[in-house]
Amino acid sequence: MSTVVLLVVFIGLMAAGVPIAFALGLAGIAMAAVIPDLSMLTALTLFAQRLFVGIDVFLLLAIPLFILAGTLMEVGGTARRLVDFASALVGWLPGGLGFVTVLSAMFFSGVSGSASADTAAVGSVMIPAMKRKGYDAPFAAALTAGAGALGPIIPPSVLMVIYGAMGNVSIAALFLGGFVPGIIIGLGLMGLVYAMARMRNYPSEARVGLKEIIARFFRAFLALLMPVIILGGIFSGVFTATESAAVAVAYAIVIGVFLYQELRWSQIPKLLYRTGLVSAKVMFLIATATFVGFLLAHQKIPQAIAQNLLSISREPWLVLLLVNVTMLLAGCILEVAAALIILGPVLIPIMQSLGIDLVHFGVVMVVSLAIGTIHPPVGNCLYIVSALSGASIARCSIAVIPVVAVMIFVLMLITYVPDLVLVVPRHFGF
Amino acid sequence: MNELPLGSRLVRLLAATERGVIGGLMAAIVVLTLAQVIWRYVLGNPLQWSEEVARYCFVWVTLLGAATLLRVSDGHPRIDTLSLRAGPRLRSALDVFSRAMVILCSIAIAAGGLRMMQLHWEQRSPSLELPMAWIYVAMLLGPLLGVFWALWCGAHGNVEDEV
Repeated sequence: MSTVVLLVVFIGLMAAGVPIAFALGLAGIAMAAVIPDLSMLTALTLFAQRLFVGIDVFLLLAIPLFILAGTLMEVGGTARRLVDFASALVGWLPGGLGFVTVLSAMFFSGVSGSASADTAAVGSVMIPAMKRKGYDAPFAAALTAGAGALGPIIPPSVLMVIYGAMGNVSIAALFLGGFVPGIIIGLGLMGLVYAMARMRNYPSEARVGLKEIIARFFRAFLALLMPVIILGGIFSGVFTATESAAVAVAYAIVIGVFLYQELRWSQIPKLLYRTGLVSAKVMFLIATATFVGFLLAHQKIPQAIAQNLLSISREPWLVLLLVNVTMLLAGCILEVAAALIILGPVLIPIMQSLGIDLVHFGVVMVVSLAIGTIHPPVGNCLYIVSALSGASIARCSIAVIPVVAVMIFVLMLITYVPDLVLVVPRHFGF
Repeated sequence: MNELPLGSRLVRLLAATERGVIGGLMAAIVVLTLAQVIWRYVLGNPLQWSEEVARYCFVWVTLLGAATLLRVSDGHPRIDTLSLRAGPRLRSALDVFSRAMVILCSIAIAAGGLRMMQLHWEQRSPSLELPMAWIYVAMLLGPLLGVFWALWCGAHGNVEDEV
């Protein structure tokens, strides 16, 4: 009964256009109102208290810090240097600029933790370049969106921090688990570029000499080093995930201001404020979801869902398939962080009871939700690339279909071959 | 600029204050977390209180930011499919409804926040012994600011940050 109230109010308010976080909070209050032994005053106090508890987590401070580090790196001129290095490596292939887009997005994923940052940073350089060389605008846009979706898959990753905090899973293990799936998706997208280049005769760029490759490597080196510092710091136990994010911020400032000299001190206050607002978006949602998660747990709802699901089948492969479909569908309605925050607390206990590795499941969940960032109606990245390329959302939506297909194929692959995710974390002793 | 009515000027001042406070708290989070690393490894003398203060700063950033997000066009994530397709009358009805719901939810948080302050008036934070009321008051002020922005922007349109 109380769950029905929750769902009806939540979906009704959301459909009417109430911001998701507020719709969730009100749905929680409505749910609390129909729970018999809970007075309204207690419910309201509980609401405020759970909001506070949801935000007051040291690990979650990694979210604003990773977002800030990525923004500083972008403003500090890192994206262009990564693109230069990538183009020296793969530009000579047929459809060279397409390869460069994918590879530089993979590099940039190592300094940024979110898909929209990655898409904007790489897209603003690569989409105009591809259009100048005669690539169709919608394809250039769709490819960039797909490459940008690697942002949360290749570490660092804001989504993995949120998942790790919810499921009490090691952030380091999740970060390591993202490498292989990220690389496979990157290779898949490159395969797509190759096929398109052959079909549509996209040009290749001039080959670059070894000396120039080395020179460009050194110019990009400091940016390429950032994920090594972040991951190395966490694994060696030198810093926690949050501290590593703060170190990444300091590193980005040093590079941008003193070495690349493209970041000015006067820009930093604005970037701090922007980052604060973007983080507040995610955190306020986490806060209201913490309240609803508490009510659901109080009513033993996740257990009930788990029992129902497991009564359909105890076969992990079938449950994983159902869960993947659910997450892909959720990605069609909800913004990615919102989907993770709402589904995580329900799905994680189910996976635990099935004996599925939570690191494996976390990476699967991040990949399936990242797919939602590149297709309509709510895909952030699609809107970014549509604006950057001047191609309409409708044309981008069609062009993105093969990109989505590649990503869904990789999603199925990593779902059913857990070793692809777990090989790197295991190697480091997780 | 000077021809603007007093209300608009005050609103711009309020928006500028928000930018300053949120930016300042973010800077504090970066500095405190870095200081924690430096004091532990370089000075060999771990700070006990930095983590606590950084967390409380983030509580403030979240609750103030949640209010600020109500005055800008790129605000809280929402599903606007219906209102984009609606005619002008339905669209304005949906806008009013959505604002009313945001205000209702904000008042609920503010009420709960007030109650938290009452219940924990004497409580001190574990390491610095700050009065917890200073932190819980964010749950009162943030939502009230949000109510103000929801009403103001409903009447006068969004207040964007001039860049």
